[in-house]
Amino acid sequence: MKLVVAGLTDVGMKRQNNEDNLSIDEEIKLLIVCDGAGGQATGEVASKIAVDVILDQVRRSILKKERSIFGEKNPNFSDETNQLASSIRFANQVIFEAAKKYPQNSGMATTVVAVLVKEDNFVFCNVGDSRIYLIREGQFTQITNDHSLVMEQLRRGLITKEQAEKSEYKNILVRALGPSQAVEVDLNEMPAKDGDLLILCSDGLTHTANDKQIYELIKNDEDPVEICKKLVKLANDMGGADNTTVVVAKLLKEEGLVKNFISFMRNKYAS
Amino acid sequence: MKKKPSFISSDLIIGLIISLVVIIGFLVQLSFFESLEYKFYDFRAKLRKSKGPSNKIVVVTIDDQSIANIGRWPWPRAYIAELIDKISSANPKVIGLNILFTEQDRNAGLDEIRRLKADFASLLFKTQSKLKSTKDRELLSSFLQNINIAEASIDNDTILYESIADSKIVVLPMFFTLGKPLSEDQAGEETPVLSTNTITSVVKESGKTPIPVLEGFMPVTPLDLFSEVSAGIGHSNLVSDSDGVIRRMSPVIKCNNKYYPSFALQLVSLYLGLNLDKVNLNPGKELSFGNAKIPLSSNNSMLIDFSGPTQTYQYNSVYDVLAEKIPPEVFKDKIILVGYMATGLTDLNVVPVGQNFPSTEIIANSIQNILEQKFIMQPSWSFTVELVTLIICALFITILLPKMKAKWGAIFTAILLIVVLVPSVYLFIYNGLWIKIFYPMFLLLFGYIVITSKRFLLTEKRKELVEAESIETNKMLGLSFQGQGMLDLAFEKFRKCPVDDAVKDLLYNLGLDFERKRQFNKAVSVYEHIKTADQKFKDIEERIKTLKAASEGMVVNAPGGKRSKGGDTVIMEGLANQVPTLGRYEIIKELGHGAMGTVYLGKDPKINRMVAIKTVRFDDDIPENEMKAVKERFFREAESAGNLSHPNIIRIFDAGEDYDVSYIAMELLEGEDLKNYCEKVNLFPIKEVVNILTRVADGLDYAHKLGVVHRDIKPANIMLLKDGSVRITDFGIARVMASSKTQTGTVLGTPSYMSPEQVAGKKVDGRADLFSFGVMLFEMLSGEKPFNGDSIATLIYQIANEKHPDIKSIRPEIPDCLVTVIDKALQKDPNNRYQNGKEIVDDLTACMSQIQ
Repeated sequence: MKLVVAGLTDVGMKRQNNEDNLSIDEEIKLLIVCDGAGGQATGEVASKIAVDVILDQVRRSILKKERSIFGEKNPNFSDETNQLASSIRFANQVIFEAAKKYPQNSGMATTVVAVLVKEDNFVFCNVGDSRIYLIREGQFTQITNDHSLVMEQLRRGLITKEQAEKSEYKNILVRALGPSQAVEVDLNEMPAKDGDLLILCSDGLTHTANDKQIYELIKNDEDPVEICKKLVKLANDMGGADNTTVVVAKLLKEEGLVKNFISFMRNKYAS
Repeated sequence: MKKKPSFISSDLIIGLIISLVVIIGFLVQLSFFESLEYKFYDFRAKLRKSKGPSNKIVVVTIDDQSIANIGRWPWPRAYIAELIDKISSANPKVIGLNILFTEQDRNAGLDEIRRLKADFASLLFKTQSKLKSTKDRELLSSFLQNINIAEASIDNDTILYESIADSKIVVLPMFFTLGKPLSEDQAGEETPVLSTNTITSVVKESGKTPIPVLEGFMPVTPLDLFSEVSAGIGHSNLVSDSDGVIRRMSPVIKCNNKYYPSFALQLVSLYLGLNLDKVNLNPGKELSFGNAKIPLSSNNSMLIDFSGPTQTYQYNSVYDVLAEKIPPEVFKDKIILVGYMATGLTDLNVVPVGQNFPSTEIIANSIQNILEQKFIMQPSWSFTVELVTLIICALFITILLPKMKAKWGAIFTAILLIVVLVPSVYLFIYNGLWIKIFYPMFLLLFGYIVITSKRFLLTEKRKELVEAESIETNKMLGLSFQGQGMLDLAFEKFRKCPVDDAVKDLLYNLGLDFERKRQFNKAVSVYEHIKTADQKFKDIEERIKTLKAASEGMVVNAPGGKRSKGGDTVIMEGLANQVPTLGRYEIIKELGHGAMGTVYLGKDPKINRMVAIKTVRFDDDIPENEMKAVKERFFREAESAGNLSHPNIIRIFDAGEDYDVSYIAMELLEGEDLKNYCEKVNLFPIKEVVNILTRVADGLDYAHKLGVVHRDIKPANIMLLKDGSVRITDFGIARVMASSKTQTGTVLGTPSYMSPEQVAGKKVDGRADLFSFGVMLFEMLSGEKPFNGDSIATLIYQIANEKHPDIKSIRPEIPDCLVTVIDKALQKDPNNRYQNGKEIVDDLTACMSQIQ
């Protein structure tokens, strides 16, 4: 799959610092969004470590064919998915040890969502409450699970959706990179379709606007850059209480060599 | 973790392949397996108790002694004739002369005499009429007589012929070429002699495939001269197995669709006084005559049960017989076997019980078997038993063995081996029953070896993999930390890797990084670490020298007491040159650093009291009106906590706000929280737990009466001071702060102490604290949490729905009264629970007296 991708991060209207981090690597088609936590300056340390380490690890595995898996391999998923999850576990190890070693970093943690786009599918992993949305043929779906206490309560049917939105545990994560040596990473993979739109975002967006608002705003847009701008603006218009980070990727079928060449020539002469 | 299915299935496939090979080998009797089974047969045959020679058989041998005394073999046949005469005179039952006389005796003297005789006879015929005197005639004819006598005296064949004829009990051998004739011509002619020596009573084969009986062709018989007068002739072919060892005798050989008896069979039937027409043959099954029966295996052979090693039978020398050194009683009514034993004459055979076994003794053993009716047999059920055993073993190694631990696998394999081995050896030794056990044994042993060694190799390989991985992981972690500028951690990781060339480079780069950060001491230790492996790596020696000089200079110039804390030290900023304060408190130093804020040691200058100051940073992203509400709530909670004055609750002195930092000043405590005492190895004695927690319950009762709910009772929030007193900390505050974190959430560990109503997001009162108290009591007594689901989801479910486990199942010595307290505190419905702390205090106090 070919990628048209854009990403934008914004500190928001209330905060002094941006604890979010993102990474877009078009060469290996890897997208990452991390949302740091842990008070003080340490949130951004955690999210930066996560983005750097995951990117580095995945690049190694793809470009240098270093295929060792950190942690338990999940046989139900492809090597790429496991490689991505392995990189995330590895980042967790780095953050965990860094937090243990340096007191100023203690308590730091971060969420992560990461997507790796392959030939005819994409694989994705997440830990925490950052999200990935998929827009396919007019359907807007969240394809990740939030690892927050409220979501667990909701899933268990202990509280209603309304209660969830007001819950005092709304922002308590039950999984994140950093707090413990072992982290359970959600792995997933999906076949890709021409025209799929992937949105990776931090909770700065999703806690201010609900799914419907988000979709209504962007359903007629095609350009990822435009979508990023609109979504960040949406979050800030709603108060911009938190940092907002959005990465938008449009997946396009790669045409054959000849077709590519023809369209290339056509473009050239048309202009 | 889940077992990896690939390992199991590959074990299954290996087991299956081995089993199939062995079972197929068994069915087609693969010579590789068969010859090994034969070895095992021989082993068992040697273990069989030898029963000694039969007293009905006497062996007479042409041995070295005879040859030394009589002369080189072949002897004139007259000597054999004399031998027969001598033996016959002692009245034996039958004589088996295991010497083949196929050609006429070639005797130059005889030829010469015959020629002379012929000449003389014609001369006599011509001259007879011319001779006048009867005296002359008589003289001539008496000369002819003399020639005749001389002829007879050297005509050995005739002499032997006469002896055999006179004896009437001599049996002679013959030989077949074993196998099927290629043509009818090759099969050989059936002579009259042969036709009188066949077994006529043969059970017809019941159609179907013909039984693969032993066949022969081109019989080599003794001279008709001898055969005609002998008591019978029998084949003395020996049948060896595929490994060349003779284990069986074939009582009959089929030739031209007729069955010819063996030498031994002839001897026995004559001994028993039965003619061949009394012998009934059921090919492939049985041969019977009179009351004697010989069980036959499928190729018409019987397994010889050897009565002992070679020379179990006494060999009587021919010379001794001829010299009449042996009393006639020895031969009377016996079967006499005459055969070769002299060096170079006898054919030496390999048999199960030994090598160099002369064929005559093999025949003697066969005869003994038949006479005593004791054989080694393959019972009719053997095939079934063998196949079943084989299948059981196959199932074992394919299905059970791969799942067993190494130890049990070995034990079960050994047990199965014994179960197979012992009965079969027993049956062979004591009952003469031969059951093939090599196949199942081979299957067991080989299967066991292959599967365990495969497992061993795999685990070895995996071990290596893990080790290599951890080195690799450390390298990667080091690189990651270095990339993040965390050089200390990077060095820590690189130190765990063996210093090979790649690691040297990594370390060198790390050293350079340290230098860039002006951490010269650390750079030196990195270079020195490289030096342990490589003295002359790049320019490290030089670098160490310069760096050491530089760092010494540094120390001199270093500014004293530098602080490198950044970020949250709001208090410090801009106040560096004077005593920092927060509200009215002077900040002495930092005590601790948590996710929510920092704790400082402070001093109240007015009353000169040391206090602990907890600063709380509210996230600046809360909408203003909301922020106001949160702060209000925070101060309200702090205020109500501040109103609490109880020996077991931490004292709050003050709460305030300064430089946008909210703080609480509270009692300075020296001690530690109870978290460590929840671990199994650190548990307090039961009495001590009750003592501490009674005071906690008392504090809770007091607070609840004043309407203050803690909301976060857990061991980490209970302090045990050095003087032994107990304090509940963070009353009401922890939760306010948690809920105020609206955006980037606090990472909650596991809400193990939450009450069902908290988990369900309902309104809570003091009874929620009492539930959490129950959880804590449970944990401090048993070292385990009552609800310990490994995921938040399970935990929440357990807290809401599942009954806690019986604490006695973890620690049986817990007194019943404490079990009652736990059960009541952990009720899901607050109405069924303790309604206030006082009730718990009472129950615990009552319990305390019971513990003593």
